[in-house]
Amino acid sequence: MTALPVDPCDATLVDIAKALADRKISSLEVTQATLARLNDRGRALNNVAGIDADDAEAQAKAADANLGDGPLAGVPLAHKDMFYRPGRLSECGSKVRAGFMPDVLSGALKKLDGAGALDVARLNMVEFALGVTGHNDITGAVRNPWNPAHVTGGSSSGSGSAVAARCVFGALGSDTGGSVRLPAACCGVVGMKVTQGRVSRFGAMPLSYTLDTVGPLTRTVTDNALMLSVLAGYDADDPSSADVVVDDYLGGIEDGVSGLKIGLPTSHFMDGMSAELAERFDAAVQVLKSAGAEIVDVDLPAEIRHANALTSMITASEGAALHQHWMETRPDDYGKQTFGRFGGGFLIPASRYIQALNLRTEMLAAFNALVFENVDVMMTPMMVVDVPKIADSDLGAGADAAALLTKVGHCSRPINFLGLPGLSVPSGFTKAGLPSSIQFVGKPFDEATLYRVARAYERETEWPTQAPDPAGWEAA
Amino acid sequence: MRDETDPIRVWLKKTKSIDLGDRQIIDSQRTGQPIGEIVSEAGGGQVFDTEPARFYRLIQDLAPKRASS
Repeated sequence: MTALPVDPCDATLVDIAKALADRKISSLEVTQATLARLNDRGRALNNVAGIDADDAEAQAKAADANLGDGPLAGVPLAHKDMFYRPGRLSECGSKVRAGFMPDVLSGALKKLDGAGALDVARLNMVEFALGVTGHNDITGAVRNPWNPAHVTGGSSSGSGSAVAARCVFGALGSDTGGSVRLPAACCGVVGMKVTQGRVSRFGAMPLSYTLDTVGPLTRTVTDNALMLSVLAGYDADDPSSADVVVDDYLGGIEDGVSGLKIGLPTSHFMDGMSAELAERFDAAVQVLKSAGAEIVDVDLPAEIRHANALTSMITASEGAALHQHWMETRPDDYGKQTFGRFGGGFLIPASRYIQALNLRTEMLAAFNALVFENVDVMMTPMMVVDVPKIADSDLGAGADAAALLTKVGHCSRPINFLGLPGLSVPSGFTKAGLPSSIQFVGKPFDEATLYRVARAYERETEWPTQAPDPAGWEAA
Repeated sequence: MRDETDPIRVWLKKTKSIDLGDRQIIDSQRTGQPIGEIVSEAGGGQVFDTEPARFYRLIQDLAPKRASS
């Protein structure tokens, strides 16, 4: 372990957990530093939905008095405002759920509690998690730490912003069409969209029962693997979680890519990509090639081009069913784009919705035969467009908004449709100073190999050592 | 804004207790390819099968063998 930085918040999750376990720093010190960052940087970037400082300090004192041997003992974390904890607000970035106090504990929080983590704040999010840019008419846009005039990506906007700004060591997000990976990509952090069923969704706000997943955002790949080690596994409270053995994500993470085959898709994922992002992607491929990976082209099923639209169709249909009563009785309490997108769900015939669901099986089987019978991991860009400006992408519910959402979700949504794991990893910065990113896509339940490949890339590039500069935030 | 003769607006008024026609909604049939066409081109999705959870069985079957329970 390296020496702790002056402000403990600048340490990685792995290092702070080790320092706490070794009693080199107290949980109270780390928690107070975290609260200071959330109150200062977090408020400046609008990534905080709520903080209860007294409760956070009480958790920290209890941890110091009786530090368990859990892998996250005494570590303060904060999460997207949609993971239920009894007696604490969970407002889901909305006016409709303002004041909502759940009476159940989410499966994900239960696992983190069991590992000794503290839960010190609620983080802002896109209204009801429906949106890939990060806009929110109710709470206002969360700001990107690398340039606050730009979006954070969504819907786990506060999680991406808070982790990148080094307010917190890690945060939970949810990913239905890219909502963990896109904020990770826009904010230059690591985000894991897990295999469908890998992490419990019990007690997490629903958007689409078919596509919702829960996953971590962290600054480094190893931090992410540590968090998922805690989160992954079957939960009897969530019968849709899978009873599949959880790999040791940290055990092989430094094994490198020698002997692994990485596939580059010959269609869809690079369509419409800017020249600069294409160059950055090629550079990332070369890094892995130099590190010993075998790089090969892989063909995809032609139908993959429809996976983005099919994902939106399923989300809109299921979301409309979840929200219909409130939309009818409280229409003015919804933001324009949220209402517009859920409203689109009322126009989708039930028969088409069910056919879209059926297509997941056929497309996964075809994708597996073409890709994973030939390579270990597929590598794609995470986004084909630059991180948009907030002002340029505040498009409400018009046709322009639909087009932008389609572009931003171009590489993320097909992976949700297929139910596969996808890991978003920073790949440096564009000339404009905004993050670029790559995505590794794996076989079902093979998150371990994604971490291994991503760590090999990260080790060669060390992007996580760069930090955003808070100096310009006030001006924006 | 849709006018009073717009077929979607008329249908929504008949079938929904809120007048969605007065609001801006993202209707995929108007902003892109029609839904039926997307589903058809993607393979149709008509399955006459007795297994209700085919996707969940497949995704678990495809997990690497070392990770199978």
